[in-house]
Amino acid sequence: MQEITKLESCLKCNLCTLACPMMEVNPDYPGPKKAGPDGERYRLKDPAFYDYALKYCLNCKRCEVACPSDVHVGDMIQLARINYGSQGKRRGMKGLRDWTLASTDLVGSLSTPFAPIVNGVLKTKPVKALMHSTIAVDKHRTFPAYTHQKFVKWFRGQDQSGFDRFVTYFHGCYVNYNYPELGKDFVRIMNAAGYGVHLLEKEKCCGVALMSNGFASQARKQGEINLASIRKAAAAGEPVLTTSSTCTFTMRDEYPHVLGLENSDVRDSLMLATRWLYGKISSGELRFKFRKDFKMKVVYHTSCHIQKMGWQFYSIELLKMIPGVELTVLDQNCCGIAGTFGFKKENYPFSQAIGSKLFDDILAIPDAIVSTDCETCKWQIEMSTGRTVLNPIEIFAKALEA
Amino acid sequence: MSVKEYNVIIVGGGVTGAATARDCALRGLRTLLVERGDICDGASGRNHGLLHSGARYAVTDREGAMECIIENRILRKIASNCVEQTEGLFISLPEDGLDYQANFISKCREAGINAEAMDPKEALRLEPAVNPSIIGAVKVPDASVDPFRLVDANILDATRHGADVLKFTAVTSLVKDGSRVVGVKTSSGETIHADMVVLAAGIWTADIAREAGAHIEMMPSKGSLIIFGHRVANMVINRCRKPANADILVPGDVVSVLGTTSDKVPMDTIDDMRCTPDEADLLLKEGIQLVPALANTRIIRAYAGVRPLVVADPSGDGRNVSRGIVLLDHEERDGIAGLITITGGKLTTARLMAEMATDLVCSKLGVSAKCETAVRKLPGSEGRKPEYGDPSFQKAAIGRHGGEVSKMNFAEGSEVICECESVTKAEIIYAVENFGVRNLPDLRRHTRVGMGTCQSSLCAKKVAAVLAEILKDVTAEELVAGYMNERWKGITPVMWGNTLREAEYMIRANSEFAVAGRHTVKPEFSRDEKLPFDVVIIGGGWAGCSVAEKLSDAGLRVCVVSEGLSLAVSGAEKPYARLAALQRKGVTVLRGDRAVAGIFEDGRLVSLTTRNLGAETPLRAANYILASGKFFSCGLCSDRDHIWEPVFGADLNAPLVRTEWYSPEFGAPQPFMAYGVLTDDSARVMKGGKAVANLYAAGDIVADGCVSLSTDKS
Repeated sequence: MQEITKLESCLKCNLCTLACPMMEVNPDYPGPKKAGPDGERYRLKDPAFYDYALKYCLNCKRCEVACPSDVHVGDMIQLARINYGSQGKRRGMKGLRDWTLASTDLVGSLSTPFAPIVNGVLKTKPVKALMHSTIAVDKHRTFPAYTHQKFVKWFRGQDQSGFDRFVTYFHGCYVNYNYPELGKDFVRIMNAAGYGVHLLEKEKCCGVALMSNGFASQARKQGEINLASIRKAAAAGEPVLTTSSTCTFTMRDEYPHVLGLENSDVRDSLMLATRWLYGKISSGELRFKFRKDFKMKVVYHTSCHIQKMGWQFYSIELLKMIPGVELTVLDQNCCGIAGTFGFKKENYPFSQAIGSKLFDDILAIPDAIVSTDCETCKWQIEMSTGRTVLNPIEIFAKALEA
Repeated sequence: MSVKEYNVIIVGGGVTGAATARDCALRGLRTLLVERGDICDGASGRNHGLLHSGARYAVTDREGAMECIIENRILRKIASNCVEQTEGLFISLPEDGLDYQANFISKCREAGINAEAMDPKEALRLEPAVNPSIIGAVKVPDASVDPFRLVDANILDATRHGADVLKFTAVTSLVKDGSRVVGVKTSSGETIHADMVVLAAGIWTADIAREAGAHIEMMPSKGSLIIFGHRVANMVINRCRKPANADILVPGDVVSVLGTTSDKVPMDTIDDMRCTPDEADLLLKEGIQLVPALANTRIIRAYAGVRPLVVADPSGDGRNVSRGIVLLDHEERDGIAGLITITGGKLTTARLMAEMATDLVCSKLGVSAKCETAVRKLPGSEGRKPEYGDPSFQKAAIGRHGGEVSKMNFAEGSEVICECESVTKAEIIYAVENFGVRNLPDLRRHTRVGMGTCQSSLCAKKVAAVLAEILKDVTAEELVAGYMNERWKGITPVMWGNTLREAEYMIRANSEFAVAGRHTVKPEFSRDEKLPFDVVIIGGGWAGCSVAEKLSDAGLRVCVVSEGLSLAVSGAEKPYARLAALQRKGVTVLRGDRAVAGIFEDGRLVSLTTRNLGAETPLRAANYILASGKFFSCGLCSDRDHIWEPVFGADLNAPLVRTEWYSPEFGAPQPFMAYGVLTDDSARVMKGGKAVANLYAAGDIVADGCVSLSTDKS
C-alpha cells in the first residue's frame, strides 16, 4: 500500500492541512496530514490507532492537489477507512441510511416508476422531519427529483444506425434516474458532430458512494462490471465519454488506488466529454456552428474532483469557445456536499459551513447561470443559492445551431 | 563541599546502571545513581532495540543464548509497555543453503528457545515484506524493546523506592581511603561517600577504573544502524547464517531499524560516534536482501554506538570477543575494596547483570534481601495497550507509557506538539516532571519528540516554545540552537531523495535561509498570436507567481503549471491566494499539475507536456520559464549518487559525490542550497552546454552565481 500512496514522500510540511476545507469548520477533524501519513505510521503498528474522526474526510482530494511531494493523502485516508475503519462502521438506522444513500442503482430503479409520487413525498415537511429523526437524513436537504422515464429507456428509442463513427457514453446514475436532459444534450452534440452514440454493454453505478460509506466489496463488484464493459468498448475503438466529473475520476483513479482494480489498459480511453470535444475542436477535426442569438452569463465552478484530474481546463476552454458566453471562473472552493456526506444529519452543518464561501461568491454575481461538471455540486448550489446550474455540455448543446 | 552517605553509588545511567539502581533500591539499600548526561548516553541509547530470543547466539554461545531467552520472557512480563511482542524470523536465502538452518534449530532447542521451522510460503504470508526468494524460515520469540522507556521505568521504580538520581553529573574521580574506594567526586564539586561503588558506565568504565588502579582492557566496537521512516515489516527479520553485517531488521515503535556493523575504533573517538555515508550504503545493500522494499523506503536517520566489550584476546573485529556478562570484583581482582564493575553483556540481559551486581554488593555489605526484579512489574507495565475507543491524542502516549498515562493531565494538555509521533503537551509535562528534562534532546529520549519522519523540521520551534514555557529558566531560541544540529548529524549520512528534500524543509523552516544576491535580468517577451500562450511558467511558487503577475499585467497570455501549494505560503496568507488572483486576471492556472517533459526542435522548446493534460494536450507557447524551485518542490531530484533536473534534464552545478552536497553543521551554509540549473547572461537555461533559445529560469531553480529572471514588481 505504501508504494501506491507514497507514504514515504511526506515531508510533514502541512500544506495539505492548509488546503483542507473540513479542518476550517470542524475542530474534531485531525486534518489530512494527521489522518493520512501521520496516522498511517501508527496504524501499521496497531490497527487500534485508527481514529474514528476520519469519517469527516470529504474525499475532496484538495490535500493531494496541494501536496508538493505527490503523496496520495486522500487515498491513504480512504484506504484506512476501508481497512481499519470497520470497527466504526455504523449500525442500526444510520447503517441503513448509509446503505440506502449509497445504493443508487437500486433506489433509482425503485423510484423512477413512481417518480411523481416519490418526488412529491420527498418534498414535504413531515416526511423530511421523519427522515431527520429516524434515519438521520437532514431535513433541510432537498433531493434531486427522479425522472419518470429513465435515460436508457429514452435512448432505446434513438436510432444511431446512420453513423459510421461512434463514441460510447457512460451515463451515470444522475442522468439515468434523475436528469436525462443532460444525456439527451450529449447525444445531440455527438450526432451533430457526426458521431453515433453507444451505451456500455452493462453499466453500474461507478461506486463512489459505496466506497465512502464502507461498502468496498460491493463497489469492487460494480467496478469490475464497468471495467469489463469499458474494455469491450475500447476494443471496438470507441472512447468512453462521461458527463460527470466524479464518475470519471472514480473510474480512472479511485478504482486502481482505493479498490485495487487494475485499469491501466483502458484508463486513457475513459474521459469527460468536454475533454474529448476540446481535443477534436482544437485540432480542427470538428467544427460546430453556434446560434448567433445565443447569450449567457456563466460563472464556472471547478468541482474538487475535476480539479484533482486537472480537467477543468477543458470545460473552461470549451465554454470560452462559445460565442455569446460571458464567462467568469470562480476561485476554487469546495461546495461542501461531498456526495452522500452532506445528506447526513450529523454532517449537514459542516457541509453548509464549508460551502458558504462558494455560495457567497456565486451570489455576488447577479443574473448568472452556474456551470459545473459535478451533479452533487449542482444539487448543493441549487439548494443553497437558488441559482440554476447547468453542465457545460448542456450550455454547449443549447448554443448549437439547430 | 557537601558530603553525602549511601550504601551504594552506581555510576552510569544506561540500562545496566538503571536496572542495578532498581535492584539495589528494591532490596532496601540507600542508593544513588550518577549519570554524566541524561540517560542512555552510550550504547543504551544507540542500539537496535532488539529483545533477543537468544537464537542469534545459540550456535556459538549456548550460555549466552540461554540467558537471553530467560530474560526475554521476564521482560515481556515485567515491562510490557516497553516490549512489543513482534516475534521474529530467521530467513534463509538461496545462497545461505539450509544446512546452517538445521544446526541452528537444534542449537536453539538445546538452549530452550522455541524455534519453529516454517514453510517459506507460510512465512511470506505471515510477513509479506520478506524477500520472496527465501528457501527457509524459522520463527523465534524475538521482540522489540524501547531502551529509553526501559531505563525510565527502572529509574522510576528505583526512585519510588527511595533511590536518588543525579543526572548531568559526571564522576570526575573515585575517592579512596588507602586502597579502598569510599566514594566519588563529581563534576559539580561534591564528594559523595558510599560503602560500595558500582561502575556501570559502559565503555567509559575503563577510564574511571584505571584512575583508581584497576585495569580493565576494553575494546570499543562501533555499530552503525539506519532508521527507516515506517514499519516495513512487523516481525524482527534475521538472516539465518553466521552473524555478519546488516542482517537484522527490527520494527521499533513506528520505524524500522536496520543494523548493524562491527568495527574496532580508537578509544578517543567514543564520544563522537557517527554513521558514515559508506556505512549507510553498506547497510542498505545488505538490508535489501532481507526485505527488498527497503530499496525504496525512506531512510530518516543514521546513527552509531559503541559496544563496551571486554577483551579476553585483543585481536579480531569484536564479534567473537566476549559479549558475555563481565562482573569484576575489584577487591579480589585488584585488591581494591569497595569497587565492582558490571559491563559487557547486552541490552537483553541488563536485568540479569543488575541482579549479579546487586547480589555481589549485598554479599559484601552483609545484606540478605533477595532479588525480586524478575517478578515485580515495572512502572507502566500495569497499564494496557491503546484501544480503538481511546481518545486519539492519548493513544500514542498509552502505547509508550502504559499505566503511567494516568499521571498525565490530558484535560490541560491535549494539544499535539510533535505531530509525527503524536506527543501531546501533557506527555511533555509528565516527562519534565518525572525525568528532569532540561533541553530538547533530553525530551526526545523520554517521549519520542523529533524521532519521526521530519526529525523535528516541523515541530522544533513549537516544542521549544512549550518546553521553555514549562522550564521557565531558558528561552525557546536557546533550546533550538543546539538541537537542530543534533538532528542534522543523523540525517547527513543518508541525505538523498526525500531525506534531502526534508533537509531543505528543515533549513527553510528553522534557520534564516536567504539567497545571496542573485543576478537578475528583466523578462521581456512579446505576444505571438499563432500560439495559444505567450508564456508558460513551470512552478507557481514565489518566483513563478511574481513573474506571472508581471507578464499578465503587461498584456501577455500566461499559463502557470503549479504543482501543489508553494512553501512560500506564510501563516497569514491564505493558501492559493496568489494563484486565485492570477486566475481572476485571466491567467490559465493548472493547479496540482506537474510538468513532465518538453519537446525540443532546433534548440527551441516547442511544447510542454503535463501530467494531468497528457500528451494529447501539450502546452505550446512562444516562451517558457522554469521556476520549479529546489529539492523540496521537486525542481531538482536526487538519489544516492546524483542530482538532476527532472523536466528537461538541464545542466546543473551539482557534483556527483554525495558527501559534498552538505555541511556537517546545521548552521553552516549548505552546498546543496546553492545548486540549480545553469543559465546564460539572459537567464536562458543551459542544456547540453547550449542555451535553449526560449526557455528561461527564475527563482530558486537557478544555480547560485547564475542569472535569473527578475521577480521584482518594477
